[in-house]
Amino acid sequence: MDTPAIVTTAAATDPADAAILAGLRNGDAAACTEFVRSHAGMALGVARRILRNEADAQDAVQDAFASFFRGLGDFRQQSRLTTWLHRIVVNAALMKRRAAQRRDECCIDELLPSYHADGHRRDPRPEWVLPSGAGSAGDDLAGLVRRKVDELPDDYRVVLVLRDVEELDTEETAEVLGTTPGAVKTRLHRARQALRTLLEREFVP
Amino acid sequence: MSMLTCKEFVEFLDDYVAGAQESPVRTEFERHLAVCPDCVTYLRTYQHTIALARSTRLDPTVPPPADAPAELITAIPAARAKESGRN
Repeated sequence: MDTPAIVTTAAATDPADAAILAGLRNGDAAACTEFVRSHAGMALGVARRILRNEADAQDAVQDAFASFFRGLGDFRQQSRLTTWLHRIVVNAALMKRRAAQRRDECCIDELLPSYHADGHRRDPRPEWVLPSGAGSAGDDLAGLVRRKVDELPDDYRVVLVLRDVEELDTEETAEVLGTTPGAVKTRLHRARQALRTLLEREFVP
Repeated sequence: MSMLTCKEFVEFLDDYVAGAQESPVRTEFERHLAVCPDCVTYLRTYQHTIALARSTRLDPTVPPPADAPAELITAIPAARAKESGRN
């Protein structure tokens, strides 16, 4: 797998990064093990958010680290090591997703708002009652939101995960998905509306 | 310019939330909000949705979660060592 073409703008002159990078480039086995131990959880979390299958997520993490180590010689320190690894994991998970069997999915249209012929809203929207602790998104609430994200049709779910969860920008998302920024914007807006509908079913008493 | 409909309001919503709208459209958007409580609620819940989705990201600076399988953590350096040995 190729390492990502994405170049982040954040400078990476972190001395800790430089020391870790030196150890990894020298083939220091202890440095390698420590780096994996420190970052495997983050990588697995990213892969799980993109892939719905645990085995695929773990495969993607292994692919990503292999790609990361192979690319170390070319790493130009234009971003933090963790930022670079994050992008590699995103790419590895997307490659795994393309290879995986796509499951049947419901149409997103039923999750979007409907309107009268004159363009006015067909159904009034009720206020939400968020669970206590919603501001800090405790584990239970975060788990609920993740499950609702997983209910979205895959093409929409992946755009929402890349943009709103993994924080890639519109152009980066278009690049890794092989589509246009316009298509990303449209899909993201529809995905957010559909997720809003799914959450509304949980938060309206 | 006539008042936006609810449908047009929702079409502009993501640009509005991103703060990217040109001021004349933004003014129309806010005129609609002033008279349409349903769209006020829709805007608020749309913003909640984005915030909740963002909140599901794990902090990358925290240690690996306990459920990161040990075999995965040991397999990766082993594969690295094996690949290095071949080169």
